[in-house]
Amino acid sequence: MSTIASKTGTELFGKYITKYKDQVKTESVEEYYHVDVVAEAYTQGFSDGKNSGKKAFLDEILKNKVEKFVQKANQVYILSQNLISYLAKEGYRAHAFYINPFPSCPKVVLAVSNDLLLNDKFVELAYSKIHENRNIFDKLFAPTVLDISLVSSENLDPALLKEDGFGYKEILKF
Amino acid sequence: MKRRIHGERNRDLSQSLVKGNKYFDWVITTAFYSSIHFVEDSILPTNIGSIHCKNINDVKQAYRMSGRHQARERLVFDNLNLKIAAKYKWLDDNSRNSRYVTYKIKRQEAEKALQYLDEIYSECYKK
Repeated sequence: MSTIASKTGTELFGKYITKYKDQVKTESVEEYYHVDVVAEAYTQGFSDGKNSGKKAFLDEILKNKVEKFVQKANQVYILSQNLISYLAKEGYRAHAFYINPFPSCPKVVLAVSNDLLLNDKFVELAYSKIHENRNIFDKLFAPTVLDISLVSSENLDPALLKEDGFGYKEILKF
Repeated sequence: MKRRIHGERNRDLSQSLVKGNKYFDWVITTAFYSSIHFVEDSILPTNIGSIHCKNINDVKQAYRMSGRHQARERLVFDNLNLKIAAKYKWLDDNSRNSRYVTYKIKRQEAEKALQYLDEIYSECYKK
């Protein structure tokens, strides 16, 4: 799991996503096996019978898929930081956040103190902002849904989060 | 009416559990599952775009979403006031994320779950 200070967060998140891109490629090939069937049909449409059309077609699909993944992941990061900044301006400090950039349903978990989770004013404010940010993501990438949730930072086990795909972690220092 | 009775039954269980002073994590889980019945009973049936939604599967299709929880969350934010929707999402998050926390849920959190459930109930069945 990547653990970093917030100052270099953007840069290190970029590095993390670059590593994740290969995984997306591999998963795409496995998950979208049917693309191969489509490409087969497409290739047969070529009068010269060359296989180069099929390869180019598949490469293009994978390239687009990876580009889309990077766009989504960057937006997830931006919206997470936007939420954290908003809460800080309102006087509420978050401790860390975790991102699972899984392409079809990216998830963010924001860790805050247990006291904040029991504070009605904070709960109303934070979830209203989360809803707003989720709508922004929805406008850009629907039907992909961004899930942002809050969790208590007390006794939080990052290993369990990592097991569930939250591969990126950023500790917030103010 | 059926949904409301089912939700009230879950709420009774949640209230009993908090009195038992032991299974606070289950208080939150049962409170969340109780709230699902109340919000669906209150909002459905409804029209989303041109689709008439009678149940959560219809809602899922209308929003073009793959998950029922996600679809229900959006339905709640689109139909109930923002402060109540926030409390629904709190219950959802706390019932799902408690497995990332390695200590037992405290009484305070369980009581907060019941407070939010009561607020959701009042909003859903206000006269």
